[in-house]
Amino acid sequence: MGKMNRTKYKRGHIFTHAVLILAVLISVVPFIWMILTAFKNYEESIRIPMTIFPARWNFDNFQVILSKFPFGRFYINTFTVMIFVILGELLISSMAAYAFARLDFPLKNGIFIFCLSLMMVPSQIFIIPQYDLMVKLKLTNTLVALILPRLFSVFSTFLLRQFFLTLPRDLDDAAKIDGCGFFGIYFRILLPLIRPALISVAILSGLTIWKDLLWPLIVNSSMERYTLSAGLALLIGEHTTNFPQVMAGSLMAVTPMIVAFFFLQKQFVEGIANTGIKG
Amino acid sequence: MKRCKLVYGLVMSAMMCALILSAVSVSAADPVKISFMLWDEVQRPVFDEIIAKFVEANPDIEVEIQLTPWSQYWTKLDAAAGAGEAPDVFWMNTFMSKYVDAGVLEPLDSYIDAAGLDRAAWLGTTMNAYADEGVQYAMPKGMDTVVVAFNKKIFDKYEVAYPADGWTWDEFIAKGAELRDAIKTAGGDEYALVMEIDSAQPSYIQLLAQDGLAIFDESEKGTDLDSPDAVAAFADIVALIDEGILPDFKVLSDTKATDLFLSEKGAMVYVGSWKSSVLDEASFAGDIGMVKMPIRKVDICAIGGLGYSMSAFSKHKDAAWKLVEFLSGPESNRIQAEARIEIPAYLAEQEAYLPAFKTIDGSVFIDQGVLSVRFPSHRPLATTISIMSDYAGQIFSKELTPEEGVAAMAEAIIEAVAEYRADM
Repeated sequence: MGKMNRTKYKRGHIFTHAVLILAVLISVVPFIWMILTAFKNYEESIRIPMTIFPARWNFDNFQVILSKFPFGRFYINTFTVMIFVILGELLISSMAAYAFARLDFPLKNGIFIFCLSLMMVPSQIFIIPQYDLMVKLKLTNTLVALILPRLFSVFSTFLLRQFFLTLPRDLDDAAKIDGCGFFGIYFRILLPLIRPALISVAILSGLTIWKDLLWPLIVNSSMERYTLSAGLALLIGEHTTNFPQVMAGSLMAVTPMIVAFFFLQKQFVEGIANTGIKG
Repeated sequence: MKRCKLVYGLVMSAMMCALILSAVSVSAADPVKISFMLWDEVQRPVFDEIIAKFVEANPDIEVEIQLTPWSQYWTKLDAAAGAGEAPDVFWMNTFMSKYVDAGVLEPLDSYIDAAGLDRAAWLGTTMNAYADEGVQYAMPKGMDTVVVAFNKKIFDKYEVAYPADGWTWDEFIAKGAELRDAIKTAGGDEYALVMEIDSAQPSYIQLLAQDGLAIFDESEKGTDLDSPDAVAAFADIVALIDEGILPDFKVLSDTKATDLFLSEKGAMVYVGSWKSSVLDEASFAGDIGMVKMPIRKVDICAIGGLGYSMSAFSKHKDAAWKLVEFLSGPESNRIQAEARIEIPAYLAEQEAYLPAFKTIDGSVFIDQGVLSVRFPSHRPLATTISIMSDYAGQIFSKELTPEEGVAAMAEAIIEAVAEYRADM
């Protein structure tokens, strides 16, 4: 009896692990391929049949990229934009979410539904009008142009509103009795309680900035104002793309994210589990 | 309350600072500042050099190079042009007429005449390619041609004689068949011929042009692909696949034909001059031979090439013209030729292209351009060229016979042209 159960359990175990190993392979192989290609030369990278290991591990591709592009600038720009957007988005979205969850004002539901309907429109539609706006504000080719349009996010507002709604109103009432105003309730009572949700928002918005490609390329024109993703796209040619250089650049670009993931693994996983969606 | 005021004050002072800073940066711009947008990262170092020469000769002008990747270039130009913010000078290609219609491009004739330039100094085909209804909207940057490259090692291995210039299409097929048989007998794994049939310019466009078709034009229908002559080019490529001379469409769309050639898996390849430096850098470059394309009905090559346009919104048109004139002039042509990135459109500098190669003989690229037509183009090109490649793919993957496919292709193109005209 016990023996049968154990073999059954073992069989299930093997199956689960087989699936997991397959999933790991699927997600890890492109990474390994990126690393290997970064050390090859162009001819090796397009050779058929393909060679797995570079004939000679050389760092030429890294040197070429570092001499061609201000990579340090790309890092600084990306981090600057990320920090401002994350802080700004947390502040603005959480205040808006608080208002939608707790305050009463005319047309509250109407405005909220209007905001939600914006989520259904693909973001590419806003690119040209946003660009026009930046031109009128004389903000093209600045880092501000990368930060400003990203400060308010409908999705974050929606997410935080749902979290605010789960908190009991009694907390607000108790605070009110003790003499707290709206801002005090929001800032000192409720905000600390939705910390996990704030972390999710921070991670998701950080990732969005990290991946954003089209907007930085459209609104900024000098390389000194490009982010990492935009800088990498410069390596893709019309007729020929030097894949080893692209991979060397990608490797440099993803390294900080991988390191960040290493240290903040728990928060990353919790953040995504909290939202119930994948970023 | 106090805290509120403090925050308010901080925000206001930050905004003031930003305003003052932006005002300072405007008033400090003493020399005329113009921008120049291009898309090719490989060519940028060469253009850094050219711009340095230009600034040396024109110390009162400052040029900022803006590099935008090919896949975002046109989106960015559309956005910037829509806001009147296009760069002063930018690269142009066969999509030009769209920007002419939108009023984005500055007509250049008066500048050309004022500078006393001789239009015959540039290859006529490239000059004409950038004129729209007789008005010049761009100056030619260079030209690209398509030739046949072959791997001498593979020919030697199977004891097949090298092809020679002036060969006909029949001789080309015969050579392919000879190679195929020799490879098969010896149990080799090379292909006799590879061709980028997933891309128009280095494949069926050339065959159609040599059959005497205009392909795209500004006539009522906008195309002559509905004529019976249009089928042969596609039928001949399908025949090459059927006879085992050319690999299946699946192989050729999974792997770039030029990559197969560079991996020494193809004996012959139709290759564009834009790949010339890749060929020259190949480890077996010494064994790469080159001949003109086999001749079908007419000995001709449909050539492409870029141009330099000036924005109609430019605030410094005189400076922008000076840059366009310099970029399309002899010195810039020579620098680009010596860097192997372009066959000069400026005829007197074409000879500078040949010594640039370390190993291969680039002269065939220039010879191929002597008898040339401009790359087929008309106003709705962005739509019609993708219709063409959709149907070409269906023909080569044998979902449609060449007759059915070309008929459907012509019908869809004529419809798209009519729709475009109705919208205008």
